Amino acid sequence: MQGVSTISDAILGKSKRSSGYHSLFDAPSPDSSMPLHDEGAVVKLGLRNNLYCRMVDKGLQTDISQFLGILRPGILKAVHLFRDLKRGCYFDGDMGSSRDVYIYTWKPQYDCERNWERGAGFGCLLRHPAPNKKVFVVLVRKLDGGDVFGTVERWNWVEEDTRLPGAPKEYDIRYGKVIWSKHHD
Amino acid sequence: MINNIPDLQKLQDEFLEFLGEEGAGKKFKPLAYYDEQLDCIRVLTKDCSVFETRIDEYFTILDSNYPKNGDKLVGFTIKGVAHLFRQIDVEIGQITNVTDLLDKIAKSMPSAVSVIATGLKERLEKQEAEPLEVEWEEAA
Repeated sequence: MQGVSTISDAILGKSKRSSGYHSLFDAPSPDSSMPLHDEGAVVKLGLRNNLYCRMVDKGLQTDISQFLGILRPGILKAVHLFRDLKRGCYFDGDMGSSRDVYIYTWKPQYDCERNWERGAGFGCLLRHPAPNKKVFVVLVRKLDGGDVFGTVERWNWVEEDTRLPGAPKEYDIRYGKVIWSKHHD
Repeated sequence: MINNIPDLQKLQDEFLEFLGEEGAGKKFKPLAYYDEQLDCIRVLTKDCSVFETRIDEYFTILDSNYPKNGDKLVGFTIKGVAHLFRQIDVEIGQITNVTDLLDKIAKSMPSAVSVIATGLKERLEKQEAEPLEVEWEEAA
């Protein structure tokens, strides 16, 4: 373990904690005792500057379109929150850091995608009906203290579980714990 | 596609503003990078809407939600890299070529994992003329 962590730290070099946010937005609190519309029922999530730069520099424009068109406007309507990716996950000197990953899931109405057949202008985005029997999943890495609960690190579609609507297939194998499940009006 | 909705133009404007002038001109190229926050290597050959299918604790495959002309596989994720690399006796950053890495996994891991790694290696070699190199460090 020591070897991996030493080498990893040397290669990755800098602090792995957030180095600033491109944007902040609200998400439902992990505290399941708070009804969704009560004061204090939301937490702040951040999009890290580094992740923003990667998406822009690498042309990951579908991720950006989904962040703007699905994630940010829709996460308050998440129907499930899970915790722990339940797999090996090394981060910041901790080999068990998957427990600090929270997973919001819901079924958005639409999907967004970059239309690479067009240039960066009119028609550069496509909006599709949500893929059939899929749910949208957002992975959040929890931060230690501070005003920001965590940072969004990954978002994508996953096949829906047949037992729990709005949850990813085999959620009980993928994730360690169900934090809450909610119904929205 | 649903493109005749009034707020699509608004979303598009926001998208272009988010990218900035320089970012809007960037083109996607197939890539592989280490996601240090989630300890995984992400390999992506096309920028499109994908759905992820978990194969096992080490691999997730990425398929296009709207495949056109052929293979819907557009990428995969190698998960739990620190744990995996300990098992295959490789140091993080030591192997950069993705097909070499898959080859090493195939030779070092039990048969079920080996079969998946071999299959992904063959698919990647078929799809990509140029070898993909893992970017280990996140952009500043």
